[in-house]
Amino acid sequence: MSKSEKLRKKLGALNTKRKKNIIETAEKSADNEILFKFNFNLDFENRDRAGAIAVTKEWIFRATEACDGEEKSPAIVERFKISDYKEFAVRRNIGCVSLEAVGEDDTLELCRSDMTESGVLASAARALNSILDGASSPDFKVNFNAPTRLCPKCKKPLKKGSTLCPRCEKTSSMLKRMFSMVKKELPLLAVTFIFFGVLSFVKVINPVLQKKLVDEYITISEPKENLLGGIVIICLSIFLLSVFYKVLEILRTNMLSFVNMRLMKKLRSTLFDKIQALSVSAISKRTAGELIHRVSGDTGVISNFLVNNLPHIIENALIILIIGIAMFVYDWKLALLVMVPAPIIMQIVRKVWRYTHKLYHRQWYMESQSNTVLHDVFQGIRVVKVFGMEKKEIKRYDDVIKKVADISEKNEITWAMIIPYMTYLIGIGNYIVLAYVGSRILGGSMTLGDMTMFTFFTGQIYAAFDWLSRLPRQLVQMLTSTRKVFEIIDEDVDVKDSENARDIDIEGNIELRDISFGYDDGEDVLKHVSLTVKKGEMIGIVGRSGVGKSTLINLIMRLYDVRDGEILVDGVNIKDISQHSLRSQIGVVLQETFLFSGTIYDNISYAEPSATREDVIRAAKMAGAHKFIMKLSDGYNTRVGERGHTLSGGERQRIAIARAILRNPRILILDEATSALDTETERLIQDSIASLVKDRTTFAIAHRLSTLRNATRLIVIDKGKIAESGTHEELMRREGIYYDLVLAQRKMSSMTTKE
Amino acid sequence: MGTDFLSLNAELKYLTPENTRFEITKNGFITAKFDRDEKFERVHLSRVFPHDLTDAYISVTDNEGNEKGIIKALDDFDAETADVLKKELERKYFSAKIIKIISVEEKFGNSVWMVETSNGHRVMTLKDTFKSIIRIGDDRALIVDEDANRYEITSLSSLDKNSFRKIELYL
Repeated sequence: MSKSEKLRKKLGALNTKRKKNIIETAEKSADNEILFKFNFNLDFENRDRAGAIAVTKEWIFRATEACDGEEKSPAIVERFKISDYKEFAVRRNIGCVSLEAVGEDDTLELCRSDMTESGVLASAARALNSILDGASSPDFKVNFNAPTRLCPKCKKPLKKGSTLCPRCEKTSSMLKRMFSMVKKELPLLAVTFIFFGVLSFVKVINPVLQKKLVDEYITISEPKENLLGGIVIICLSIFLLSVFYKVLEILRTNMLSFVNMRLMKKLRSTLFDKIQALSVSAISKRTAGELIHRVSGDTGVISNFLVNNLPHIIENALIILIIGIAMFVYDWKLALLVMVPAPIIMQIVRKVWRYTHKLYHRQWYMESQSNTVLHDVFQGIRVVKVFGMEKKEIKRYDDVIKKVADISEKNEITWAMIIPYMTYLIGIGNYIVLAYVGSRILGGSMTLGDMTMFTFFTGQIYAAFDWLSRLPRQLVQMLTSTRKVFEIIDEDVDVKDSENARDIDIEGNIELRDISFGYDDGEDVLKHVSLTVKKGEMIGIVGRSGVGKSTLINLIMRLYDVRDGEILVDGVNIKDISQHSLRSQIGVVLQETFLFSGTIYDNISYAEPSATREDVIRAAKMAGAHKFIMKLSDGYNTRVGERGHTLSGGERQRIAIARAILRNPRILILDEATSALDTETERLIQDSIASLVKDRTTFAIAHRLSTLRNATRLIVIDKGKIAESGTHEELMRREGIYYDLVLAQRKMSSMTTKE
Repeated sequence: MGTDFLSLNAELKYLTPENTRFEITKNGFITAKFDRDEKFERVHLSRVFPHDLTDAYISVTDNEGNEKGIIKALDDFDAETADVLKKELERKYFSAKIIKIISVEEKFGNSVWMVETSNGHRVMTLKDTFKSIIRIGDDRALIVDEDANRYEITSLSSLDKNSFRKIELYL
């Protein structure tokens, strides 16, 4: 165990002890049943201080270390009455988080922690609020969801959804997992390994034949019977052996390509399937570029290693083994002399391993940075041109590629410095052999043939060491890629079908029953929202930006799971409906319409691949898209480029509506479907939307409130709750938030008209 | 082209000792009274340029997140008030100062750092080492670990040789 590892363990143990002691103190001070408890690790001024909180139905008990880190210092214990406060809130600072009790007159900071404990504090705030809300009700319950998944080795909490502990992963375990992923392909790989084994064996026979040729036919002093015939037979054998070697090599290469393709396909499809299975929140943690790199780049690195490097490892290991044994059999002293540099080389390899890894990781990072710049500039080329920033961007790119060039140069120089030394070391063996064998030949105890054979053996064995000494680079790249791939493959699917999930025919009755939801460890975006929607109703969702309107519809689509409460579709909890069944009956039109690369026809029929051509045309007609499509020279076969650049916003939107119509969904979701359009186009689309929403349960979000005029009911979301609900007229009479929003929009619109 | 149109169209309200009075509550929070405004029982401070101006351009918001104004320089206020405001900012922006780097261990693209900080020894995991290190100017570095904890090397050139060598390649 290294020094730092020992220190880490010692500190870990000390921290655990401090936490345990302080939580025991808090527990002892509680006078009633403890509902939940947790540790915190900073004081009011961000100093390192262990503390703990224990919560009973009425009181909060706080124990804090009196002095920094001194185990035996007396703890300060305080208690606070829960009902003295009206709310408990988590304040996310920068690099730390605090739990606050908000009273009528003043606020009190209950505790403070670094970000590692932010999830615990958020759970505590929710649990304390639920005590405030429901302490008097008979079904009083507290949900304190502290992270429970710990690394089995270091006992530290694992990241949400992850099963890998970055602190405890070992090369051996990573290799094991890599092999487990490709175990079905292992028989094929084994066959290629056999080829490599045979090739290694052939390499050993060759020098033996050469020795025979030199000793028995070339250096003899007296003529031998059938001399020429013998030479021809041996030369022919060497020739046939090399032909056999080449044939085997060709077969091996073909076999490798075949295995490579299979492996790559297997790895990529496994990873792609997993990404598809992950929830939106899990996917959005990573950028599209990162995911693309994992699917295409990292899998390629793994496959390349398994197919191109692993067999070579086996081949070279076999060469060392077979030739090593052969040499020991012939002359053990010489064999020892040849093998002496081996441990030195391996030691250097170990050192080089760590160093080169950093070098290449840095180069890889800088290269990805330069790609990011390219991506940025090409994506935003219009902005660059409009603001006349070409020169600035050229400089920016020049700077980054200069850095890449500098690092590459440094790496190459480093390699160039390392490699000759390695080669020199490897070469030393040859000189030793020459000196030793030379003296033995002069002494008469060895033949010229022996020297030929041993020189050949030495060349082979050192070439094997040389190859293996270059292995770290590839091995490290492969392990890094494996880690990145497994990070996704091992990730828990957080939105998954329950065991009794079933397919249902949705009618369209929806009920939100006391639902609460927040992203990650943050505060709840929606708090105790309840809503009942009958089939065929159109609900307009209104509110300021960021109040949770889109979150609400994402929950209805089950892109995320609610934290508390439940969503019922026709009386069935959506967790009990298979995700495929649920989403296949939901149609969505979003503000940002995404069109896949392909034809307009492909894009409309995406929603219902089995739809007939007539159905597609009808859907386009209903969406008001048919007319403009027919004006295009290629009609429905018009190819729409990446993100549909060749079409206007209104046209793209109408295709999206046609797509939604074709699906004939029971539930329709319109998220700012018309906000990017001009008034005239919007008017056209409104008509198509009107035909779309008929007899379907619809949820529509719109900033332009006039577009919600057909809604049966409007709900206004504010501070995570449904603040107002009713028809346009009812809400206007109430003169609340909706009234203010409408007035503000009218004012804005009259100002625009005057201009 | 001048930028007068900006000052004409976007009001930037500066908070000065003349128009603002800050106080501290018994629980250690900041209250404020602005000209012609009622007293705000709790205000929050945020650095507009947290990387390079720690005590200047401080945005002051109420509990609802509405900006009440900007303090151009904390030192414009009397020493006692400036001290209270600085402490509040220190409480909001927490980054342990790295004194020594004990070890950096690379593991498959992640790295595990053991460091000695102003808050004692810490072990941090960086998800992507290069991305996690933000260079501020030539001599400072901000490090954000996988949990969003922040660490700061206030002067790279003042780090001891051994510590610097351990992180040199990432900079």
